[in-house]
Amino acid sequence: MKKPSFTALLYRELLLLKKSLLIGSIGALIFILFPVLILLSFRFGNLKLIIPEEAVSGSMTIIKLMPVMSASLFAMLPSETATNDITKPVWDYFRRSTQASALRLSLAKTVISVIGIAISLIISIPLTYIIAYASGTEVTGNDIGLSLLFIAFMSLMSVVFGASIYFFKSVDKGGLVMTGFMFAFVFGFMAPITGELTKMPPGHAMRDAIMETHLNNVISTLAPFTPLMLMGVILIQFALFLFIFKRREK
Amino acid sequence: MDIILSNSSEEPIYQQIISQIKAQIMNGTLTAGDALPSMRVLAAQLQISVITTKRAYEELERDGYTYSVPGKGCFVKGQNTDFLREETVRQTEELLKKACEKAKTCNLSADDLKEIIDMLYGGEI
Amino acid sequence: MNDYVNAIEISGLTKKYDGFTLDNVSFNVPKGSIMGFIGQNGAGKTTTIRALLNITKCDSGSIKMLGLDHVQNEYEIKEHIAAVFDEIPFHEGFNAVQVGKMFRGLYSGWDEKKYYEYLDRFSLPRKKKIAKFSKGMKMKLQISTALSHGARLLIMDEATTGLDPVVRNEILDIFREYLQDEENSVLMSSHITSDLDKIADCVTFIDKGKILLTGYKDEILENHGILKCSKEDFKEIASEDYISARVTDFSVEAMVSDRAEAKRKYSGALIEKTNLEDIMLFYVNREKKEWS
Repeated sequence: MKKPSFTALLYRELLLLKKSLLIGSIGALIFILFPVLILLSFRFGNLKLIIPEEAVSGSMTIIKLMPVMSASLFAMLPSETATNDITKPVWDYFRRSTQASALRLSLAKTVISVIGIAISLIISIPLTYIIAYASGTEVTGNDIGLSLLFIAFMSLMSVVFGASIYFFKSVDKGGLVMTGFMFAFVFGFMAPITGELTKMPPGHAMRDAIMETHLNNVISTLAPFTPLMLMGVILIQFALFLFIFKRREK
Repeated sequence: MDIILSNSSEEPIYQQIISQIKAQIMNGTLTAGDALPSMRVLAAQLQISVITTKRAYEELERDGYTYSVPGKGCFVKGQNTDFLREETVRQTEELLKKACEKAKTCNLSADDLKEIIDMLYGGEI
Repeated sequence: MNDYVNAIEISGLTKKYDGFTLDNVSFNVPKGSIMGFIGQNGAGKTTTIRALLNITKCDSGSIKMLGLDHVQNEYEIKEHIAAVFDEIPFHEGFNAVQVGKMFRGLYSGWDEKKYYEYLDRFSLPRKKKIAKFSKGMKMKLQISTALSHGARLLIMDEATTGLDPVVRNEILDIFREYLQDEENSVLMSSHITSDLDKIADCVTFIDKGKILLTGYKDEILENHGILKCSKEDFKEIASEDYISARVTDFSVEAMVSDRAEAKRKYSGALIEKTNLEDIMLFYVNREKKEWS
């Protein structure tokens, strides 16, 4: 399988990844700098004087999520280039005039996806520590678990995005479907605790506590499955690529 | 070797090439043993199809003006120019015979015909 | 590589779409020649080429390229062919050097030296991003890659469309050079018939999915002619003797497909040479018979 054309395809995918890496890195930097600065301001700076303690702890979850979000960006980058190939078929027509098979192309793209996910995972660790340090908390197993789950989730979303673009033939519809999926997940996440939440008036400290406990529960149940989930996502993505690039127009 | 093609002439291009090469062989510009450019080079230079030059070369060889050496190209055949000239004169006579027959059918006199020939030589028709 | 007479042999190619059918398309591209594939937009040129490259599957028919079956020997064939499209397939963020590196891995016959020679010849910058290239430069880049891996068959799909005459001429010269080697062949689809008037050895004309004409360009141009006469005289011309006629207030122009016969039958009528564009115009209107 490691015949010349595979390396050529891989080279192309790597070049494309390199280009989006730059943008991704800048985005990630902003996603990190911003919360860090806010947190430091909470603890040592001006914001401490303005905002009461209770509000801070509530938004802590969201702030903790920010490094994870920036890390998971890297997992989504490969799918951005993949969607390009799906919406503009010229590259694939050209590819079909060469010996490069759909199998090799799918493999090359999957390798890049794996690289993207790997970068996300690796980056998320120092980022989690930075945020923890900035907020003055300890890094817990749950934090790591949260990162892993989030990255797996976003990878799945990017696959959904790519698939929707292909099947619905439009980027807008693809975005809609992906948003739909995300809402479904959030809904599924919130469902077990909506009952309890409605009993409490908004702004009550108990709300945050319920949320946090629920979140931790979810994380501890699901986190061990992350490797499996990631593998599943990668396999689905590979199969999807194969399907798209092998399928000859009717 | 000079080849000048006219797009507006009714004469097909391959015919023009044949006539011009024949003329150059007969007036000595091209001599026995001279190599003709390859069909493809000629086609590329004149910006015409190689099928055209191929056709011209094939006819030249058929009529005995050139011969080809496989792998080397086309060469001008040693000519008995007098014999060739005689042959062409004979062909011209044949054509004139046909012209005279036609002229008679519409009552053109020999003088009328001579006038027309003068005009043709002068390039006025 | 085996010996073959025709670089491309298409026989009975049929493909049905919604609202369009490629109907029994057959033609050959002799080795060493350049075939001009002409037709209107939507006539079926691109569909045929996609079938050639196995991008679309055909309902029936057989295709042979370089003497080999296009499905069974697809892998072998693709080492020796090059396809050029009207849009550049390489990502716009790449530069010529990166494209070259990618090609190095795609073809075992990749000749990097030749590639750079072409780049220099076309004055293409090596490190500039493709996005900054003009349309002509993008096409020249594609052609540089196509000619640098020893391809025996060049397939161009509307590749000169949208280019200015100077660039088009440069490209035609490159093709003439490419054809100096008799083992090379070119299939070129275009609706710019003036280019094909100049360079094509053979011509295939497709209209609404059907092949109307195929053969040597010289023969086709010699056999066809435009008969010009008055509307009165036109009445004497039999319907089967012309393809279609353009009727104006002052005269009639009719396309005949057998010039010699027409000269004989309608002696005295003015019958002029024609070109591929006229042939296309008159044939496209063949069902209307008389048009203006």
